[in-house]
Amino acid sequence: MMEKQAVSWVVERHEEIEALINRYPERRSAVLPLLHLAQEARGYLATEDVEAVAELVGMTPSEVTGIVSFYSLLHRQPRGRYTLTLCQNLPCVLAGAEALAQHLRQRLGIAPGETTPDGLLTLEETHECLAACDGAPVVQVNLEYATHMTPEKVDRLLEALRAASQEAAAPDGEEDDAGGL
Amino acid sequence: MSGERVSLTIDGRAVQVPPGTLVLDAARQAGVEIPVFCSHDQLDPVAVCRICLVEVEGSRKLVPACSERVREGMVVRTDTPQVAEARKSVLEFLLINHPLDCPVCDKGGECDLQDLTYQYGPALSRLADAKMRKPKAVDLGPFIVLDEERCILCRRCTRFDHQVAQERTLVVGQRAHEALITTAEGVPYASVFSGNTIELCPVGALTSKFYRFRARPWDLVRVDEICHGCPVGCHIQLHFRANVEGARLERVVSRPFEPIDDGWLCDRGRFNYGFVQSPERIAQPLVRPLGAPRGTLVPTSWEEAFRRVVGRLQEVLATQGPQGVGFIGGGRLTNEEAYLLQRLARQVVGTENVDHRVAGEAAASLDVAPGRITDLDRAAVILVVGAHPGQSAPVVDLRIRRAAARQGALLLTLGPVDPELRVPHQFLPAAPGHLADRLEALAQSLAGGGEGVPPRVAQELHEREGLLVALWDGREAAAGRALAAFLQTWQAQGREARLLVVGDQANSRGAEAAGLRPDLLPGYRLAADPEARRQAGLAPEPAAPGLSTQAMLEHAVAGRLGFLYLVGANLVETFPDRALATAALESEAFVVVQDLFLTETARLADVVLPAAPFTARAGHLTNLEGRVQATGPRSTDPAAGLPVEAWTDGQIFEHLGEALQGRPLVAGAGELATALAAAGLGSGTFAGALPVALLHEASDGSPTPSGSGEGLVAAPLPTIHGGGGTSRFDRAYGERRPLAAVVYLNPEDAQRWGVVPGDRVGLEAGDGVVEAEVQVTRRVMAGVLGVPRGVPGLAWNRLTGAGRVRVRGRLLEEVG
Repeated sequence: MMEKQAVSWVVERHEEIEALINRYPERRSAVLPLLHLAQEARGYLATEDVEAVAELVGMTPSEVTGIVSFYSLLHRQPRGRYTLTLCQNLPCVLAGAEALAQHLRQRLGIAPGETTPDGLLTLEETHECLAACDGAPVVQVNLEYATHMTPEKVDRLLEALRAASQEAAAPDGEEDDAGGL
Repeated sequence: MSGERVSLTIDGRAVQVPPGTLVLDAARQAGVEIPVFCSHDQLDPVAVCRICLVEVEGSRKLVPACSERVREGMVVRTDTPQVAEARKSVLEFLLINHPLDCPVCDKGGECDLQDLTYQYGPALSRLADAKMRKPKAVDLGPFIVLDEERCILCRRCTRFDHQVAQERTLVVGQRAHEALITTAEGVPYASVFSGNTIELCPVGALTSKFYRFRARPWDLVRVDEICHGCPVGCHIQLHFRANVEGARLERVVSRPFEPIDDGWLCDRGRFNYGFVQSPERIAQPLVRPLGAPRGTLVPTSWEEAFRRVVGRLQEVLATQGPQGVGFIGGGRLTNEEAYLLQRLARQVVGTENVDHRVAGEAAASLDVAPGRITDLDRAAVILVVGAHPGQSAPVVDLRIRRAAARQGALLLTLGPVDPELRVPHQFLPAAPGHLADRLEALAQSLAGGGEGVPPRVAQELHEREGLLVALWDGREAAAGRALAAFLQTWQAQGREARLLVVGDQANSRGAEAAGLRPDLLPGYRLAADPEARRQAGLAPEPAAPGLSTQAMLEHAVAGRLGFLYLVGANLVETFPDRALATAALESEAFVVVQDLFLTETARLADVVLPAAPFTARAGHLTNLEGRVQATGPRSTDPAAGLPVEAWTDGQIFEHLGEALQGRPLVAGAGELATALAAAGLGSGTFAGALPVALLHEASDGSPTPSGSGEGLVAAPLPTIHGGGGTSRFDRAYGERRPLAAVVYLNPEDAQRWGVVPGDRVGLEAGDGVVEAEVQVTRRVMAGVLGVPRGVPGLAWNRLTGAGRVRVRGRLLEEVG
């Protein structure tokens, strides 16, 4: 019953939030766009973000928790700035994804599910198909695909990501980095 | 709609059902059994478990019978090899990751998964790999442990929480084979209806913390009962496990009865049963030794206790006459016991000083537009006056939630504190003592006037056609009269109205109908009516007009009432003026208390008689709609031979009656049944109701705000998990639902008194200071302090008996 301290993105991005909610006939339809917005703001979804989204759309925190845990692109734990998801489904494996996995683990010094100590990269391996078999093997960098990957191209990708993070880091930088490969 | 029928055949049997019927229900009617897991009568179809797949002619695939509606000429087959194969496959899938730990599972022996596997499933699993591991023994909420590995994801529990309770706390998390039943982080599943999910669960995933590993279903002795927790009167079944030491009550389950409970129970009714076998129950009679101060009690024999009671009663009769004797209690008694108590008072002792109202209520019924619980199902408007149905009639609250959330009923609440209803509603604040004003305005708004009624509400009330159901807590006589007038105005406009009065205790209404009021004989006949008195075998004129609870206490303090007999009445805790109740008990009056536990009240008694719990007695209870229901062990019950070390309340009354007058209180069970039937309390009938003319201000007990505007008016709030003996002396239950000494303030008042949420404050009223933590909420209207009743350590009735309450902020700072 206490008045809660507002989460910062709710205040700072108020207009954007209202626009998202107004896009739909029902408030609860805005739950996924709002979750993405919250995750963009913090890098992951903290409990208070889940609660804030629930309140914005008139759902319970439990309902929003159910949605968050359903989608693999929504994260409840802090992540690196970039998440590299390496496809391990059949076409990618036939095109060398297993060797690529070894290479990535070695280069980053972490296992799948872990984040580099500098907080830059999180490594994921998925057995679900990323639906880009024509570009196998595929590495997903945040929301972008890097296709026809080789150990050399992976190294260049890592360099590019590190370089991008050195710069003042424009939010759209990450897409360029990944897309350019 | 009415006469229309759809014809179809199921396994060659022709059946006719109303359009829209599910194939599953049509099959049931045709006598064809179709197995189910996810399907449930009270929940919307979801068709996720697939065990009910059947063949429908013309359909290329099998269809789920639980979600498929009947069509004219439909041909359904459930007895084909294809259906058998489908059932077998579904069960094999469900069992892939199921732990098969039936030998240690609570559900073993009453498990749908176990039963259907035996009936339809494969004998062997073809799974070669390791089973998936999921969390086990998950602490889901105060009463429930969840085993995710046993869960088959039928979603009955989550659907109950969403569709019936409207709470949306329990959800399915994750996805596919990793899916789990869960809640938001840090949020326990603490609904007051949580226990229903245990019964809904078709497997052993949701288990009761109290029943876990306690018994096997086939060892249990089952006794049909009526819940004694509140005046709703839900149908329950008690499960005892017999051993060499006797029988132990191991769990309470529902016994679906649609007109009242739809098969649902609240957690109070389901889990608050341990008091029956509490080691703290009074084991033998206690007396205050002559000359010892109040509070000193020593064990004695029944003979000695009765000798003291009868001896002192005769002394007081000799010195003060019958007016010097008073009897209070009854809301926890059966109809029969309540009748015997008033008969003991009126016929044997010759006094009219009898009352069942121990908590300041004015009435337990009202003879205006008598309603039934099921009326809520078709209500267009629901008006809650003073009542907190979620706390004091929880299972009725489920119907309110459904009517408001799913049937679009307009829900209005009126009183000093907006009850916690989980569905959208409009709160009309009304200060304690002024509910009548607000109701009068509401009645005027029906005719186009109505000052202070929000225009939107007035318009809605004007436009809504159909039934209005009002729920009243029976407090503030003036509010009762105003509500009666409002309902009559509504009816005068050609619209239907119904009233339900939520009594304070489980059988308040039965006690009232049985004549446990100073102004009423059994059957709502006036105590002052000579003809009624003659028929009841009483003198045409009472020796003196009867005293209400409050008047009896005042007379005791004044030395005019020398003998006070309390039955299951913990007045120190329940009476709105604690100072008066305590003063009366500490007066010169001889106090007899009949109870299960050594309550605050019993501690001050001269004689304490241990009463048996409800499990040991038979009789009838009258629920809030007036339904007279049989309760207790009957001679055919296997558990009737349970050891009983205490006397039932009725046996004590009969013994006292015989000791005093030398012959039985009633000639026999036949005479008792006849007397109750004559009072309108025949088994299976509906009781009468209190005439509006008998609503007296004197018995109000409502707060009487005195002094100027300085200070707050305390409004008592019922608390589902709080209360006197049954919850307080049930340790296991109390530990699961700890009650905090918290009071509620409006944000404006919090600011005025300089307190913030979480502050510990001193509340000054009359004779003392009560300490409590403050919570701030707009549910409480400005100028009012919401004080929960029945919370240990929070003497709510110190604040309601003595005018306005002042808040001394930040107690810890001042003290520290």
